[in-house]
Amino acid sequence: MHEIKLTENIVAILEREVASPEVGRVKKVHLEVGRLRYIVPEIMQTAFINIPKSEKLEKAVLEIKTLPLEIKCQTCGAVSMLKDFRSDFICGKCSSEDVKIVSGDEFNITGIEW
Amino acid sequence: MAFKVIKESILKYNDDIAENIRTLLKEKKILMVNIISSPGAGKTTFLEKVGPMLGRKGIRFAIITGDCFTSRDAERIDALGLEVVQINTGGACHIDAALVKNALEEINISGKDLIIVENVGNLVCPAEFDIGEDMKIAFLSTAEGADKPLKYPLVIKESKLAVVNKVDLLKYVDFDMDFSEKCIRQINPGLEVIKISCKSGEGIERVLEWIKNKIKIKKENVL
Repeated sequence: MHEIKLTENIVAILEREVASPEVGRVKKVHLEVGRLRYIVPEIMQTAFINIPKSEKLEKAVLEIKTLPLEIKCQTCGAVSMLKDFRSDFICGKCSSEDVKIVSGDEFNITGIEW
Repeated sequence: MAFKVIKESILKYNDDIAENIRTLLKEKKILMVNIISSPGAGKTTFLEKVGPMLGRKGIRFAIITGDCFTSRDAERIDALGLEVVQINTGGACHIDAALVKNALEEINISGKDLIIVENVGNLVCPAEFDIGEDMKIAFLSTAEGADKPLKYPLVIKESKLAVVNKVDLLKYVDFDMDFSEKCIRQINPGLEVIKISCKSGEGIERVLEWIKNKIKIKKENVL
């Protein structure tokens, strides 16, 4: 459900970007979303279609790139990929619990194409 | 084809406001907790119970309560003579930082020790939105499935305390407390779990002590 509110934020950011005269009618909007964000791309894409937008954004579609959940071991430095939150947060190489999330919580608009 | 690189966080607008709230509350040394649960877990009943007790302990506080449409929760709290502000989200499934900022403007926050935010009953979306709180409290109950922590891991991961309410029902329901605690630890190994019953009063004092301790830490400005 939070996709709707978040998609409104996306539209607000985009409206600001397309206000500049050099930007034409947008075809694609690129997003990067980490696995920890619990975004269902289909819901976000539908929400994006349904939210009122200016002419330059009317035909745009969202291209959502999902980024993996990765942790970096603070002991041995190895980077391991985890399936999701339910996985054990330990280093895949040395089993240390002293790990930091290095990827997975991204939530950005990365660019627009027209 | 033309391309423009943007690189802007979708949550930036919310996070900027949340950061302003955090700065304000740090300056005023007020602790803010964000209580998150599914609908019907007993958040409002908990506040009805805990509110007067906080008052008796000399803690100065206000409650911000979120609801999609009604003011039923605020009316229940107001009936006890406690300071409360209702946020209606108009159907949105969570409270965001802008709503909290507006609510804080309705409270005379000077001299307060504590702001309690009762989020909209939902275990998914509220966990996503930073509202400038010091800590989230995951509020579960034995009337729900014991596997809720696994199904809604983000709120467990983000919380500093898990409360399990309705332990008075344990003899009537199939809730496996050991399994539930195991699920919690799997996601957030260090998370403290306090079992309570708003009906019998069991465990409430422990939650109060926990909050009191966090207020003390905040006052000492080491949080």
